[in-house]
Amino acid sequence: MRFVKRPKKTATVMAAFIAAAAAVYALWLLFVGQQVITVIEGSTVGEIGYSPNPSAVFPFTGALFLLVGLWRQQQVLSWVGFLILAAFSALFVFGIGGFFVFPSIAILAMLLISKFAKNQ
Amino acid sequence: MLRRRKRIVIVTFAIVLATLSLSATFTSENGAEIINSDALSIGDVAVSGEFTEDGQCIFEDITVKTDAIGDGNTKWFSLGLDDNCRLIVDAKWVGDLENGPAEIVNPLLELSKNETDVIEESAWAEGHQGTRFSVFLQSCKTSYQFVYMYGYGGQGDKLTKKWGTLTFCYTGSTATISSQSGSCQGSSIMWWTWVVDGCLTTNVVPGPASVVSRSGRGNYHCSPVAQAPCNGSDPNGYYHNLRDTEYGYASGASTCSYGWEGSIVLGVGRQILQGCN
Repeated sequence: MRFVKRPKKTATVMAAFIAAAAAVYALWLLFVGQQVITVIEGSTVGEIGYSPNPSAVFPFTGALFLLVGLWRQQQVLSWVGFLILAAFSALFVFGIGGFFVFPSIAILAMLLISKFAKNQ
Repeated sequence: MLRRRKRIVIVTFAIVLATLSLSATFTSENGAEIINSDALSIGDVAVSGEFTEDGQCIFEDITVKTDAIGDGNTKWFSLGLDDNCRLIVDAKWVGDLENGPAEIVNPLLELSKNETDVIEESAWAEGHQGTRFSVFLQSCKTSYQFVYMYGYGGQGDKLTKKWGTLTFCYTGSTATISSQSGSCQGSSIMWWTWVVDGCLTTNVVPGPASVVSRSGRGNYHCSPVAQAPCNGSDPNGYYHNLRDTEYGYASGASTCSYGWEGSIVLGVGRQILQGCN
């Protein structure tokens, strides 16, 4: 199969897709926001809305670094981007960092494959 | 002797209203005459007084009432004294004192250092040939604070939120709540949710009193309690509450306090959004 024959390139492309998706979602969180439930004192009914989260600038920056690093084949930049994304996921794990935990793990796997795998 | 036209500005505040009335006392004699400021237009005679033998213009106690406008604004009502011992409505406006007509506002500002001052009878009388009255000025103030519980991401990682606001009016001797409210907020993230279990007003001291206050509390937890990351506390679920209290003082000062109980992720912070000073 072509994927198996060219694991390095395939991993790089997949990492780029995941990073792009993370960047788009970070932009969504930055400008539209995460879903919130607001309750007025004395009321038992909550109102669902969205609240922009300025902290989403960190995963956006990380994902951007990743994309640029992968595009220009600058591994250091890619790894810096990954570290920003991973650190954000870990620190903000109870909040919006939770959205980036699985993308971070997937990107780590792809970066490792692209670094150590050999094309057949 | 009345030689000059004199003005009295009676300030009323929106929210206190229907029940709270402000008064301008000229000479205190028989019962109070009630003036409904909302029913009068500029140029209307609000009340007529009587001349004494020595030429002074005497009024019975006067009470001015107005309807609440409900948004924390100040409603102003100005009465001018004419040469026939009548109080004529010469201005009405909503907003700050400075928004009023300059010919009415400027003399008042010269007499009072700020809006909370009571213009003393003697101070007014000194420059106005012995006509006796006092003007009571009130103002309103809003205090608004935001309390939140945050995670390991620090102050930018707000997980549960609580707001509380208090608007009160003060005269220098008493304060009265004109409006108060509070709200709570949780959020949904992936498969877990910061749930608002309850959002309550726990205490209100409406006044009139030397100190008024309101308190609120929000109860929260992380759900599902047995799954990560909600199972990181002991017992599971990060059950906690956030509390806020806002105080208003007769002097116009205000303070705000906050607190929390239960299991939190890392810390609780607070932002002053308005007032609280």
